[in-house]
Amino acid sequence: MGDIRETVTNLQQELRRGTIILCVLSQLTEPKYGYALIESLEEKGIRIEPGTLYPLLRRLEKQELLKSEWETSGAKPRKYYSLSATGHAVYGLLLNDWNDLEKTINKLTRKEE
Amino acid sequence: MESYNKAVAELIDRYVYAVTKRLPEAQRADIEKELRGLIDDMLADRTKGAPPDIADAEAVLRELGSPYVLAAKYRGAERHLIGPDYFDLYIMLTKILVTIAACGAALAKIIGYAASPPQFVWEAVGSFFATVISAGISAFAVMTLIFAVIERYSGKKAPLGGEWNPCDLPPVPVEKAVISKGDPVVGIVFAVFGIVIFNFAPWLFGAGDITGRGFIPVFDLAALTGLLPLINLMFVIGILKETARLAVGRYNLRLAGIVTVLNVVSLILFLYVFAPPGIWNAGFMASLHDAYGWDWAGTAQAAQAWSIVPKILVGLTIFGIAADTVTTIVRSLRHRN
Repeated sequence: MGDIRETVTNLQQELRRGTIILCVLSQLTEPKYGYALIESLEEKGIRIEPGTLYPLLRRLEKQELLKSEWETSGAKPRKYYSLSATGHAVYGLLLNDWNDLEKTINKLTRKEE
Repeated sequence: MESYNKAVAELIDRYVYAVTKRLPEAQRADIEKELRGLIDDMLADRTKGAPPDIADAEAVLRELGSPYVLAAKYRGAERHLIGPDYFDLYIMLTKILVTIAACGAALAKIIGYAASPPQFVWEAVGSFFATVISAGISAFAVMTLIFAVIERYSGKKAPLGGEWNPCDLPPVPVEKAVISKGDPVVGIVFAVFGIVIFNFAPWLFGAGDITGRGFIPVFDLAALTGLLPLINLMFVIGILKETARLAVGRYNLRLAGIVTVLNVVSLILFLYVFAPPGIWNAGFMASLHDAYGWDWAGTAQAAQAWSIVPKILVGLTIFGIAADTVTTIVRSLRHRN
C-alpha cells in the first residue's frame, strides 16, 4: 500500500511541477514580493514551498518573463516581482495551451458518456 | 530588519552564509537580502509577531531546507566536473600553470637547440611546437584532474532527502584569516643569510674544523660558482613570496595564486641546480677519509651513501614546497569570503 501512495505522490508532484509556472505568472499582473505570493497562492489552494518559489522567481526574471524592483521605503526591504511585457505575452500563450489541454483531457477522460 | 535575540540571529547568519557562499559572487548580496526578508516573514508568520525563539528559527530553516539544496536550486540545473565552489580558483591557477609549462618547455627547447644546433630546421620547428603544446595540454589536464578530485571529495555532499539539521550549520568565519608577521620575516632573514653564505663563503657548507686541517665542502665550488645566478634567483623568489604574504596579510585566492606560481618556479630552479650530481663534491667522502683518517669514509659504501644525499634533499624540498603550496591554497579556500 505504501508503495502506491508514494507513486501517487510522485505523479502528483510531476503534474504540479508543470503547472506551477502558470500559477505564478497568473498572480503577478500586480507586483508582489515572494512571501505575499506564497500566501495569495495558498489562499487559492496552491501550496508552494518558499525554497522552490524564490529560486523560481529569479529564474523567471533571468528569462525576462518577470521584472523586479526593490521596495525599501517600508520597515523591511522587499523585492517586488511583476510580469514584464514578454511575461504578459508568454502568460497568454501558456494560458491558451492550458485551456486546450484542459479540453483535450476532458474529452479523453470522459470518453463516451 | 527585525532584531532577534543573539542565538536566533546567529543561526540565521549561519544559514544565509551557508547558502550564499555557494552562489556566484555577483548574485550573493541580492539573494542574501531577499532570503533574510523571507526568513523574517516566515518567522513573523509563525510567531504571530511575538519575538521568535531558537525553536521557531530552527523550524523555519527546516522548512526552507538544506542550504546546499537551496543554493543548488538558485544556481539552476547543473552537472559539472568542477563546481562553483572551486571554479574561479581553477581557472586562475590553470591559466598560470599552462603559461608556465608552455614557456618552460619553450625555454628548455631553445636552450637545447643553442647547445646543440639541430640538423634539420623544419623538424626542429615542428618538435618545438609539439613540445610546447603538449606541455600546455599536460598542465591543463593535470589541473583539471586535481580539481575534479577536490570537487568530488571535498566533503560537501548534499544530504539529499535525508534529515538536515540547522544545529549542524558551521559558524560564519568573521576572522579574516590573518597571517602572522613572524613566519614571513623569519623566511626573509633565512633567505638573506642564504644569499650571503652561497656568494661569499660557500665552503661553510662542509665538514671540518678550524684547527688547520681545513674545511671539506659538500659542493663542487667551481660548479657552484657557475650556478650562483640561479641560486640567487631562487632566494630572491623566496623573498618575493614572503613579501607577498606580508603585503596581502591574509589568506585569499590572490595570495594562493602568487604563492603557487613562485613555489613552482623555485622548485624548477632548485631541481635544475641541486638535483644533478654536478654541483656536489664527488670526492667529499674520500677527502674526509684522507684528512681525518676516518676508515668508513673511504669505503664504497660511503661513496654510495653520499650519492644518495642529493636525492634525499630533493625529496624533502619537493615535499616542503608542496606542503607550503597546499596549506596556502587550503587556508585561502577556507577563508576566501
